[in-house]
Amino acid sequence: MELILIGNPNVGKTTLFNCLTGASGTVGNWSGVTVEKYQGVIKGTQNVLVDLPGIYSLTPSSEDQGVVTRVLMTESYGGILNVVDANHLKRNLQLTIQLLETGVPILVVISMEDELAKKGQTLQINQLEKGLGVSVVQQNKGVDFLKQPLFQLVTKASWSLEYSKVVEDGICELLILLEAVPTKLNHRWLAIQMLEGNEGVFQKLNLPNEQVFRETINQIENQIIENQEAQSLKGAIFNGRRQFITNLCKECLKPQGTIQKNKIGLIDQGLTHPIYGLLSFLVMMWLIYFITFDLVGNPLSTGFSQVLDGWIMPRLSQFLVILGLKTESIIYRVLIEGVMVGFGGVLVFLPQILILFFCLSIMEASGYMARVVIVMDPLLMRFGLDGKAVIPLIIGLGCNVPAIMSTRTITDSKERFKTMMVLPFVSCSARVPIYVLMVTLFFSQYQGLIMMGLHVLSLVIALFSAKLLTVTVFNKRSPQFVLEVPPYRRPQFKNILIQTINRGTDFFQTAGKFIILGSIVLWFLQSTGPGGVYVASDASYLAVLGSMLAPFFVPIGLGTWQVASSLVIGFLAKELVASSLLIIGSGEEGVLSLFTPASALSFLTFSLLYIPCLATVGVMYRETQSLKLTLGMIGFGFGVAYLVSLMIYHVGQVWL
Amino acid sequence: MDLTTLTQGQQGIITGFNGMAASYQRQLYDMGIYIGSEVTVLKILGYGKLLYLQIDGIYFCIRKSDAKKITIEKVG
Repeated sequence: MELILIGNPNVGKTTLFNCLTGASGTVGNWSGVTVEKYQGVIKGTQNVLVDLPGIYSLTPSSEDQGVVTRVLMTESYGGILNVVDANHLKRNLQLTIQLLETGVPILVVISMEDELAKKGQTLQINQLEKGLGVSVVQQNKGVDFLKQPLFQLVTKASWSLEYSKVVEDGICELLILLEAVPTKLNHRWLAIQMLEGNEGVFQKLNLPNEQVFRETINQIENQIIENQEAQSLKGAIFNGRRQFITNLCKECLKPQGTIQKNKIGLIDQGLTHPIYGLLSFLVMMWLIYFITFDLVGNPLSTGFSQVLDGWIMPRLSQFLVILGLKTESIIYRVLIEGVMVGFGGVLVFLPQILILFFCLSIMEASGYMARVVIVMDPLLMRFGLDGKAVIPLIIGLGCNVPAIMSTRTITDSKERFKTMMVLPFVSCSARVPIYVLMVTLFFSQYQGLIMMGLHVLSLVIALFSAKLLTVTVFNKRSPQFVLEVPPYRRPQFKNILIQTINRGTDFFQTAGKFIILGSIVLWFLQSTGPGGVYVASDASYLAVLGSMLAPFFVPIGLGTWQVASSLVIGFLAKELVASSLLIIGSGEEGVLSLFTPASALSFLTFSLLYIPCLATVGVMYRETQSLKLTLGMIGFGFGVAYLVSLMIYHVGQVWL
Repeated sequence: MDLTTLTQGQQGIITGFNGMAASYQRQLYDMGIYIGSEVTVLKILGYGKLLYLQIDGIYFCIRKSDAKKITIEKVG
């Protein structure tokens, strides 16, 4: 039997998941960390548990929350595990009622009872069970309850909540309309969700007479407003549930009346302060980058590549020879010089990404990330971005691929696409070797200055592009921003580790296949040419392509075939640009002769800003499902890169 | 009277959402910001751009521009 795990964000849903399955799953204080479908077998049983993103309601308000509604309506599953935060019973039970209305067997798991106890309150489980009409278990009593046969535990509610007369009349009208609709889903649930304004339901049902449904719903809403019952249909339904919940809480929460803290703590005062908060964020970022790249990342990466080059590669080639492959055969060369180079590229890169994910997971699980969003929102708002865009922007400094995936938590789809469009301008760590090479060759005295300048430039361009897109393409709707600020919690090491590994695996699989594909294409471009296979570097298809493109890059000072072809390489795999440039230009002397200081600056700028790598483009297409947007992003990036490089080149020619 | 008229530490009861997109209203309802709820302004942040709120023991942050669309009745 398959069970799905549903609950509000930050209720310890994923902790329960890890507890039950032993591993695999993610946890975070950030709404919607678990976007991918994570599943695991419940220990000691044959039941599968599927972890879903945290939601407040079945009406989706962002891409990752939409996943839950989609799963609920389309997948086959045996029951629902609904995690309910004992502290915020009133809000959590709103979702529970929606779930009970689906008619799917359900088990309620109560979490965070220790925090409730701190407030001096206790929850009477049997009263809650009686009220809800389904089994309720407590997470703090251990998870042995699931050893029982699940069919005894997961039960259907035998009652349904009665709403106000107007709402009930509306449900009746929709039920009549729904009779003609072929669906296995509970009709009453569908009717209520439609009245609540759940667009996900309409999308799934794809009704031919949708207009009739919508007109009926509008009429009922008007009636509710006329009667002054509520100010919207959603409000009327919410109030119906609220009344039931308030009565239920009176029965099961002892003692009544929560003592509410109406002050925020001193730490929160500081971390959300516009100046101190920003400063602590900057210090935190510096610390994370120091750990990620200098302290741990680089030594690990170097170690990785030494093991790869010195140990794995020779053995692999020996193995291939034993298999009967000749060292000059194409298959051997493609495997060693294409696939393995690409694979090595990802592998060497992985430690840094993992450490970055680890640090971010701690920031999310501790609740600090929400404070960063608060500090950054007023700043990012000026450029038309959501405060939540700060997370993708940080991840983007490591790699653009997971950064684009992390935009799923942004509610508004236009805001999300806008964030995606500007993300490739954020200088990922694969671009750093290009800077290192160029800076050592041309600007060795100004190393730090140029490196910092490039990062500042990337940020400035990203922000101003967002502003540009806001006033031009994405100006239709007013943004919607609301953030729940979770309490500070001590992150659990095990959960953080599991989450890091999951995100890392996700990155490895997604980015990995594109990077390897890019390396294979690159091998063919470099090694074959009009004259056959294994041609000299200036007779390869890459050189041909470079010569064709070169005239176009003359205005920005990059009009040689060598430089143009290294830009082609940059599209396939950014991390290979520096090493390839050395090969194409035949060593440092050669590279020195290809550039003037001004054109070197232009090359740095262009490499920073132009088309992102194949993996980023691929993931962009996967996330948007739109060729137009993906091509738009490529064109936009290219245009911005060309213009900025043009300016820098000409200014550089005057000054340098 | 809208939510932005409350100063730090003051409380009010939400009486309506004015000129707000229906989808945003639904989102507020689902997160626990609803008509009839008692709201406390804990702090005004980001040079007056953001409001730090408390409703039913849950903490929220919303923008001032959106808070202007939330009508309230002052308590106490």
